[in-house]
Amino acid sequence: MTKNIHVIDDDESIQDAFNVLLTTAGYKVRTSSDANYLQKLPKKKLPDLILLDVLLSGSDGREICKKLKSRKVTHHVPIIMVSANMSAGNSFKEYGADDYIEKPFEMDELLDKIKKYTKE
Amino acid sequence: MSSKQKEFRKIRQFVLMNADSIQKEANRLHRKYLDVGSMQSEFIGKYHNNHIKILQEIAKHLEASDTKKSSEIFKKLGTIFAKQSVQDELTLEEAVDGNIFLKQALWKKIKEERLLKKISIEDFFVLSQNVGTYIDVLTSELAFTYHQELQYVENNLRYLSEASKILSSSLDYQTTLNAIATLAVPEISDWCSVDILDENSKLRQVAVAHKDAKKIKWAKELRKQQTIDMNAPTGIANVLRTGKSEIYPHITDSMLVAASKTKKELRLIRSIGLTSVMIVPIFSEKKPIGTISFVTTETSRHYNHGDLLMAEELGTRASVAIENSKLYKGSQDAITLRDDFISIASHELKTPVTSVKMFTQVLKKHSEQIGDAKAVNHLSRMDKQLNKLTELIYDLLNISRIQAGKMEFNKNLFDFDHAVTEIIDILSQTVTRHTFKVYGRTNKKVRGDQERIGQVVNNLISNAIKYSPKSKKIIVKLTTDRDNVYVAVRDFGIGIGKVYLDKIFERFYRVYDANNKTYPGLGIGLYISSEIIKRHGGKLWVDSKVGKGSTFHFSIPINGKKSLKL
Repeated sequence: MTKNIHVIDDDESIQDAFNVLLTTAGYKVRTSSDANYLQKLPKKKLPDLILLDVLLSGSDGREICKKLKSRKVTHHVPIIMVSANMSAGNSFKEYGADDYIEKPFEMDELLDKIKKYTKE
Repeated sequence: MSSKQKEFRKIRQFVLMNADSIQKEANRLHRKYLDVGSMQSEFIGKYHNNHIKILQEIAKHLEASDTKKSSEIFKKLGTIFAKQSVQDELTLEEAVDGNIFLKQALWKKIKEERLLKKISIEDFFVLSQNVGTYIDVLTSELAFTYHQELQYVENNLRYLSEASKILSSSLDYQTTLNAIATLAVPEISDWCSVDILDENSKLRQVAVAHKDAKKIKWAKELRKQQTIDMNAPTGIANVLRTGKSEIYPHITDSMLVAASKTKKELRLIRSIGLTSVMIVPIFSEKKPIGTISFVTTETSRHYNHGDLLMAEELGTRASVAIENSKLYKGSQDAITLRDDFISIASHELKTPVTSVKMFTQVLKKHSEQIGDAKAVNHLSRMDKQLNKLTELIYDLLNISRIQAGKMEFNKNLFDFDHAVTEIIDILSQTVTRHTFKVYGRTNKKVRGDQERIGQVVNNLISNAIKYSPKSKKIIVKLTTDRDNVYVAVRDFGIGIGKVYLDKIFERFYRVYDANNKTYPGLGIGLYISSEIIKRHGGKLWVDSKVGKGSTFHFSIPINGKKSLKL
């Protein structure tokens, strides 16, 4: 079954690129600059993995991650943090994320990580 | 007229008529008994006039019965002559001796004229007593004031030298001016105030000191109550307007009355007990921007021309200090702005690079799938350049982090040899022209940031490649001793001139080759590397010969617990 990946990033060009890259790699993609909708989704519609930008303008990606990981419904959804900030790589575990990738990245590295967490 | 009065009148007239020849006789005696050849000729006329004045005063008060009262005049003369002598840099002997010989010459001439013959013993006694007292009062006052003045001059010089030291020691002029004001009290003045025009052209008292510490608050209060009228014809306002200093050796009550607008103000200003005032300007870009005011109160110290010269000199030096601190602050602001900009810009650059890289890789994958070898080749090159661009962005980010003291390190125990050879392996895959030879092993585990140390190795080898375009070999040597591991990266390239050896570790410094050409790069790789090594408690250095090549070495302490300042 096609895996469903949601991308949360406030930059449109990054959303576009993720869309093209992940669709090409055979995933279903939904992109958004706002993560709030995730908390309202019924269990059935939850994605198989979330790519979450660390520094979303307005809301901190780390806080969103903490929230999703603390809720029973969303707890199991794997979250890979994405950031242009090197130092974020040292602290992703603190707020419950499963993994971390730094911008810019190699496509294969990203796809390997996604595969690992979607158990393909 | 009594015969007594008549005789005294004769003597008086004689002295007044022959003052000049008496003075000449004094000079002759002076020259005869003491060597006065050293006295500068320009002073001879000046002191001639002083002696004439003394003789005239003596003549006027010959038969005075109240010597105490008439002595006051000679006391005043003594003060004036002492100040002149100090300004003219005469010795105390030079200043005093002339007056003693003057007395001798006066008696000699009076005797020669037989003017004492008809005078009674009592009158002769009064006469000799008076003349003697006058000269004594004059010389003792002269000596006393001379010493006091000399002390002032010495204080002035000491103050000026101390103040200069303070002025050049700090680039924060607020602190500096405070120190200047404090230092002036009590040696130079009882009260010192520094006032500077702020950016809104409002005069602000930036520093104030008073000999009575309790009065500082009062002095500040005074300034608040009595705002300075910027149109006033004299005082701080005038000094600011004209850029010319003012001196008031003797402040009189009528001056206070003229300066006060209200009775309340007059009362206040009278309560200060002003004696003497000097105000000198402080300049910035040749415009007066402030003043230093020196005030003496209720003391005998009256400022003179010499004091003013000192104060003006101080004003000039303070101006230079303020100028320097302004330039310094400006450059610091510019540096902060630049570093902030680099930090923001490099971060912002990452986003478009990320998306371009993603699209490039998607296209490359697609081209691979449809078997378009040419497109795959081109896209791979694009991807490589994007990686270079990313590295440059990282360098910029690193440099702004180092500047802000925010460079982060991860501390881990790692296999040193493995970390170095891993970098060399990765580089070998991308390098076409050069070959690497690795010698030695350390067999040591090191505590530090493996990625950052790898960054240093990468940087040194990349430089070796870049700066040896015409040779092929690059040698990497690994060695160790009890305390450190060492890496040496040697190339056989253009080398570095002696004069540049220290500079290459500076930020933004780039080496020029023999044809005055630079090589690509931002000139920050070595700076970042040396910062990384420094933070690990190690050293980074270079041996080089122009045309022969360079060897870069670095050391990392093995026992990282002790020296790792991460």
